Amino acid sequence: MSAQFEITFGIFSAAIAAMVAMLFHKIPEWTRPDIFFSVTVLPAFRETPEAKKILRAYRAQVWLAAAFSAAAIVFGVNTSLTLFVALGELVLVAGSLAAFLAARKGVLPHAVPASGVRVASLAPRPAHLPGGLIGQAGPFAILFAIAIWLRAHWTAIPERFPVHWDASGHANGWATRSARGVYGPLLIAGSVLAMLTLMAYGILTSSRRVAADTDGKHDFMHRMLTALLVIEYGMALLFAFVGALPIIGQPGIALTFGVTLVFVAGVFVLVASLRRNSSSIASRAPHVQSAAESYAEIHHLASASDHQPAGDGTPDGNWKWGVIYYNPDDAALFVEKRFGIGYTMNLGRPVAWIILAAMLVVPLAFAAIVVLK
Amino acid sequence: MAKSAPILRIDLAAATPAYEQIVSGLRAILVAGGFEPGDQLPTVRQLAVDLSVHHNTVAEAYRMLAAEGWLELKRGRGATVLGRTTPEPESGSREKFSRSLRELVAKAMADGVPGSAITSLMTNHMKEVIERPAMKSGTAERKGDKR
Repeated sequence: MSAQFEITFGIFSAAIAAMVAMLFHKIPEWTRPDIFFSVTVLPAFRETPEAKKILRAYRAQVWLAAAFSAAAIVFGVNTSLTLFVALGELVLVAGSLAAFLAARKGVLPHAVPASGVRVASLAPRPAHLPGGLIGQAGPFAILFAIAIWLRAHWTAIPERFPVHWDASGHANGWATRSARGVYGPLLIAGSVLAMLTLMAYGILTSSRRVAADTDGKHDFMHRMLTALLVIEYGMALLFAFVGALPIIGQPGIALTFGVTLVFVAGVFVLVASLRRNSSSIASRAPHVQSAAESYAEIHHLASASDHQPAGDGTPDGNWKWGVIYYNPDDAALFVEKRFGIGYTMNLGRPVAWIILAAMLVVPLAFAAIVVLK
Repeated sequence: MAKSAPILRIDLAAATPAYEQIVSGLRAILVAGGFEPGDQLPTVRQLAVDLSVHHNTVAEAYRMLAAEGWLELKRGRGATVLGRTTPEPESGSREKFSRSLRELVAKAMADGVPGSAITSLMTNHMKEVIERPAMKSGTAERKGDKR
């Protein structure tokens, strides 16, 4: 492994690990005030010594896993055993999830039943994705533009060009100047973007609005869908860069890792910003710490009569290990994650399994078409 | 539709079935003039999603309101609010209302709601419902139809 590659790869892996650890560190702050480690609690519970102790223990475990991860990455890079680098990243995620499950176990005795009150706005729901048709088509247009550019410069593409590199940074996989070899990465990107767009539409039409009494433009769902569109643009640009490699040549390890790192960091910042906004709301009104500005109102409507936490409209009993939602009696296909940011599917709906299978199979099928000869 | 969108509230923990709560809630909004004839209600799927209930629960509620003459249900077009004719009161309607009201007031007092608050709430609700924009008379009409 070359020294330059060692340093670049080490920095890249460590940066990714640090971002993942920071994400796990912050996630408990970003959930609703009455959901703590996926358990419905009284909002005041977070401020109790017991809750603070659970949070401290969770964070200590996350950073311990991060330390093990860093050690494995350094060892892997120094010994050229890339397996240890992958293992390091795995240890971090697995360790953090184990910390979450342990914290959840500690919170469960403090669980309280959520209010059964459900509130719905009878206003027409916005039927369009952020950006409209043109905005949503943008990422596909980027890929299409690169495809046209590649076609226009077809003769400039080498007969054989590298598409895969080993741990030392030496090319070990090659593609030929063919439609499959040149357009393949763009095709895979297109399929992934199509799945993301379909998912965004599913969230728009089949998820609960956090705030029942808003016009739908300021709620969490809208901001989430906007963030998803920004990520799609980032992905399209990243894949456009990859697609153009046959002509622009290998850009160097530092640039490749740099571009990937910027993309990943951008996603992290974007995701974090979704909840930072809600924190600023919370700082103005301590009893309101949700993603939606009008959550205070819905919270009031839901809990005023019985003094129970409003929760997120999903029963605790339908969450397996706090992360998998299964409720055949809930019409929602997408529900807000209880731990993490964004939406997860209601696996109690058969269509969720079809979507899951499609999300796995479609990009893999395109990848197989491109890779297999 | 009224300027501020009506809000429907149900309690899944209550003894009353969810579809009955949806019927009652929507009926109260319709009687209070929360919608005009021709307005569209949310689709069955959308309302079911927002209320965390099964599609069939909302579909049943819409069917009951359609049977009462409040809604017109058409496949692919959802539920449209009708200009419902106020029927002649059935014999015993007044006694039935009186009994229900008495039971409701007694339950509220048993739950600790002060008598003055009950009186005030009833006055407010009566103003809201009875002094609503006059209900249309005649046959069921759609917005834009000539009367």
